[in-house]
Amino acid sequence: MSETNSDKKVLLEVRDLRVEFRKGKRVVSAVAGLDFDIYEGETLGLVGESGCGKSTTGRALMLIEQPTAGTVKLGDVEITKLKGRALRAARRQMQMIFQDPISSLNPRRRVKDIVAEPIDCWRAAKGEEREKIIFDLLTKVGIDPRVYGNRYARQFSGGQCQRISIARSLAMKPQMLICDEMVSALDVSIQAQILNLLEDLKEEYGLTLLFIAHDLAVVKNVSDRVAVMYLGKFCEIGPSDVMYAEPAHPYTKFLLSAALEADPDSPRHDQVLEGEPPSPLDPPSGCRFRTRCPNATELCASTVPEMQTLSDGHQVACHFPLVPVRRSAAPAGADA
Amino acid sequence: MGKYLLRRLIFLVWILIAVSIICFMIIHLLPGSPSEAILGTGWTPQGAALLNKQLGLDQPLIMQYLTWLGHVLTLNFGQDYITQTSIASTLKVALPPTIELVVLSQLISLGLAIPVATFAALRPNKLFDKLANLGSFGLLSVPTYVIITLLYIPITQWLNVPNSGTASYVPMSQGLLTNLESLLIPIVALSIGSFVVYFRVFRADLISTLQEEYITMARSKGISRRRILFRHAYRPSSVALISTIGVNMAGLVTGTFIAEQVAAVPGIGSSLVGAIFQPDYQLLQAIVLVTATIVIVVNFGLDLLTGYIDPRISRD
Amino acid sequence: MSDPQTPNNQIPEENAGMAARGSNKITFLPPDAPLLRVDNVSTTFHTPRGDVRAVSNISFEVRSNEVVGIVGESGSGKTVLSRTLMGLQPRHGVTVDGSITFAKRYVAERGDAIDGQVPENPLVGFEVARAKESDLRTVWGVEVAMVFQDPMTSLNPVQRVGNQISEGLRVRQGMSKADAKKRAIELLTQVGIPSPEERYRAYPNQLSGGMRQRVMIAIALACNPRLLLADEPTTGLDVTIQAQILNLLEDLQRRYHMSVLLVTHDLGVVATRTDRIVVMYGGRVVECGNTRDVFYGHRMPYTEALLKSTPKISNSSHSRLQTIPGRPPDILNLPPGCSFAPRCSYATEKCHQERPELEATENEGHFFACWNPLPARKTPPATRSDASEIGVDSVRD
Ligand SMILES: Nc1ncnc2c1ncn2[C@@H]1O[C@H](COP(=O)(O)OP(=O)(O)OP(=O)(O)O)[C@@H](O)[C@H]1O
Ligand SMILES: Nc1ncnc2c1ncn2[C@@H]1O[C@H](COP(=O)(O)OP(=O)(O)OP(=O)(O)O)[C@@H](O)[C@H]1O
Ligand code: SF4
Ligand code: SF4
Ligand SMILES: [Mg+2]
Ligand SMILES: [Mg+2]
Repeated sequence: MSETNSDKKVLLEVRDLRVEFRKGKRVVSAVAGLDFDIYEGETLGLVGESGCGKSTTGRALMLIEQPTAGTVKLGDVEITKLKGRALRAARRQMQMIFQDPISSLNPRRRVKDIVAEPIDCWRAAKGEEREKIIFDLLTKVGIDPRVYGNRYARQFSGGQCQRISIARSLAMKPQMLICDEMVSALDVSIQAQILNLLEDLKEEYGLTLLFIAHDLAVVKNVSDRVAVMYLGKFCEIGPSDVMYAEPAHPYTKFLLSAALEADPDSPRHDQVLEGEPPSPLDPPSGCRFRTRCPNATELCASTVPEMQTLSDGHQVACHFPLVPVRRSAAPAGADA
Repeated sequence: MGKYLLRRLIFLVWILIAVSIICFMIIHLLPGSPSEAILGTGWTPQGAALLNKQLGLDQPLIMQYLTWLGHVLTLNFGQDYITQTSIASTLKVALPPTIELVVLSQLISLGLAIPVATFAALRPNKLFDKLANLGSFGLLSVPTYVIITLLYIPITQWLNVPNSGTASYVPMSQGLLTNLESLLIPIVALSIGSFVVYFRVFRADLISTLQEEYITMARSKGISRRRILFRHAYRPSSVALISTIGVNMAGLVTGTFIAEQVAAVPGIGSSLVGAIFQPDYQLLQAIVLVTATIVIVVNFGLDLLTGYIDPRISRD
Repeated sequence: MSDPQTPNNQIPEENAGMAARGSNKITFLPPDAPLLRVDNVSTTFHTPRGDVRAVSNISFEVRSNEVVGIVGESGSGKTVLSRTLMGLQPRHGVTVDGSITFAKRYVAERGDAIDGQVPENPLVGFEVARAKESDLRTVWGVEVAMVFQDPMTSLNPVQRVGNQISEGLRVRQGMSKADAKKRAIELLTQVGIPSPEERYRAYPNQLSGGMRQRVMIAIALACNPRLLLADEPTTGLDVTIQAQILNLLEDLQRRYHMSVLLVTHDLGVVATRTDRIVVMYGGRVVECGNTRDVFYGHRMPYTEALLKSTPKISNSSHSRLQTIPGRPPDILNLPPGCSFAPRCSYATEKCHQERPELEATENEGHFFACWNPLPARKTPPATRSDASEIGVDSVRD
């Protein structure tokens, strides 16, 4: 990694993460070798088309899905090696929030008890202390505990359920949150409320975020860095402002040009990415994007492009990046 | 579809093997030796020795099963040592009226249930639908033998079909009409029983299908109501109906047996009761095997039919 | 566009919807008549919990060759409105008030006694709101078609997609089986489905979401309708697929001179692809006008709030979004005054008591409903730059 990044502390170190599913005799490699770091206190956005493996990545980091290969290090602990109680203790440091807020909460439980689930599970607090923690959490996420604390989850709208999910995920004071499409099902006005709430809580709790979404505008608004995924691999990763201004991977460029800005004067891109991603059962050789890439050559079909560093923290896996390699940048390291 | 067919076929073979093993074991699980079970009151040491040799009862169980299976596959169900007739010939006489009852009652009940359910479903919660629904709900709880008793007076007296009373069975070989007349009461009773079930299932399914978004989409193409019903609604709705026919089969067979008893039709049901009271275990075994095989094969056919009707089932 | 509340070329009602039945009372519309005129339309559902007025007093027009966007958050009544305009609301349990006039192509039928002269390209008014289903069937598919919101549930799961496309052609246009199949494959090719012959035989569950949406569009376009109602045609699809579908719709709209009513919750979808937009809130139109006027010169606080709470790619990271407090109104308990009053930062006493009616601005066809509107601004002229092509500026070494 480059100099500017090295003085930030790495919270999560992921090396060669792979997740494979068996479908009969065939193997779906949903996550096909990811190397990345998440720095303490940052938000890393993860974007890509449906089925590219975003959720599987998130679940594998939480070890909800057992990775087929690779290591995940949280701080100094290699959690992929842990088992049993130690694993559960490590998992407390990471929490996941899902897309479907209503089905991820038990409709027959009271809001208070839902938020207290992790506390009760770990017997972290009892009696008045427990009540106080819940009271504070609910107040923080904008749900009045005196009015709503004793209601059942099924009586809440999508946005309110998502607030409750956030409160629950913060109950054990985790270091990291993995948000999987957490605002995708919400109306714009509610989505904005939740995104702002997330920003506030991130400041207050010093959280590190992996923010998975397919909406490029949402991801840009919340992330410090963004990773673009295609068929189980990263195409490009970099600071969001740099990458959105100057995408280096053809796929990123296509994604950005397809995104619709709510502005009649925004540029119209008539050249859109044709077709749909190939099946992960049978990914193309070499560069996985080559079947849809206008710049593909024979090299792309024969050789898998390695991640190369363009400038500080901006890396791309393409033989012919759209942005020149800055000479000042360090050559791609082993972890790049 | 081909793969699906093969999978189902393999499954069918396994089920049939399992059923044959269970039937085979009937004789072996009874108290006493198999020869006692088979010969019953006619047991003598000499007879038993002969039988043991004939059926290979002195061989290991697996060999006995294979021998028996070989016989059964060639429709040789053995000799009835009590009446000295072959069991196959008993079945040959008893099967036709039973099959006739089952097939006719199914055709009649389906033939009525589909149009009546359609009529009701097109105007849900209107008078006709409510009446039909209420009536079918009431009939659902009335057992077949009660229906038969209740039908007796209306059919023999009011409709004046004299020879349809109890114990009036005329085989088909003596004229189709008189044969049908003689079976009228059990046929009507069994049809009512099945109709009620089919009507309710098909009506409910059709009502929910007609509310599906794809029906609205089909309407928005500007095609006729009739076409929407036949081309778009019947096919998805028939899946539940066909599964119900399959599930209903086992119950229908017992219902038919009871109806045969009550109306004194010399079918499989009557033979079964005879075999139980005798007791004639070889006949019992043959009846169980034959009915189970028929029920399973019919269900297999219905399964294939649903797979054909709903492609989501046949290609996962 | 004229004031949506007082249509100028009113169509005599007794003539509406008669042409199809061969009545001799036919009034021809002027050639520049709007294709669809929605006049004070309300849709009320009679439910056990009481009457639900999901759509209230809506008026607007769609002209030939025009793309009109309908935007609103979930539950604002977009789907109810588009189904009402299509005439698809069930006969029972639903009341549709107001008038929906569709300018139907006049097809002379035997027995029609036409008084006066038949103009060129004759059009007759067809009243959708009170038409019988048998009359509606004469316009469905061939004159007005609809793309349904959810392609998963709107395609028949047990019919091959090819049959679902060719059905309209065979039934409505009397094509032979072979011709219909040929045309259906053509349509599949047009909507960008690879190996169309193979897909013709596929069942919906064998297709991806994007492909199903294309099939839906192919079905709707099969008989060359003049008006397409597209209800969230790209919701739930990936951005790249969304761009493909929207480009396709635009291309087909231009090629066949269709009018399109594009219903969506996404301001990004309507920003560059519509001529006019209608903003809905709580079942009512709160602002409508030319797309640029609404985006740059909106007067209604809800439109402003919606625009400001939409995340933009051009925002820098960690930029704060403006939020609207509270949540969209419950259609069963709408506030007595302005529906937006409980969430509006400009609300005054009057807003809570009296409902504002649509009022005109100095921009033609631009209306808003608000007691305390935002100041009028001049809409800047269009400055759209078209983007560079991908690949041209790639750096190779
Ligand atoms: N449990 C599973 N068994 C088999 N295959 C799976 C399983 N979970 C995911 N997959 C496959 O892995 C791939 C990646 O799925 P994943 O859900 O991670 O995608 P995603 O990027 O989150 O998509 P979306 O945006 O639709 O949520 C897909 O091709 C999917 O079919
Ligand atoms: N058949 C019905 N009976 C009663 N209420 C209904 C019915 N259909 C719709 N509604 C109500 O009408 C309102 C508007 O619904 P509609 O589906 O038009 O919203 P929408 O704008 O299309 O939202 P979305 O973006 O979620 O599709 C909702 O509050 C809904 O509950
Ligand atoms: S490596 Fe080749 S195929 Fe892959 S994105 Fe780069 S240019 Fe395209
Ligand atoms: S009428 Fe009042 S409450 Fe409604 S939008 Fe205008 S200012 Fe806000
Ligand atoms: Mg996912
Ligand atoms: Mg809708």
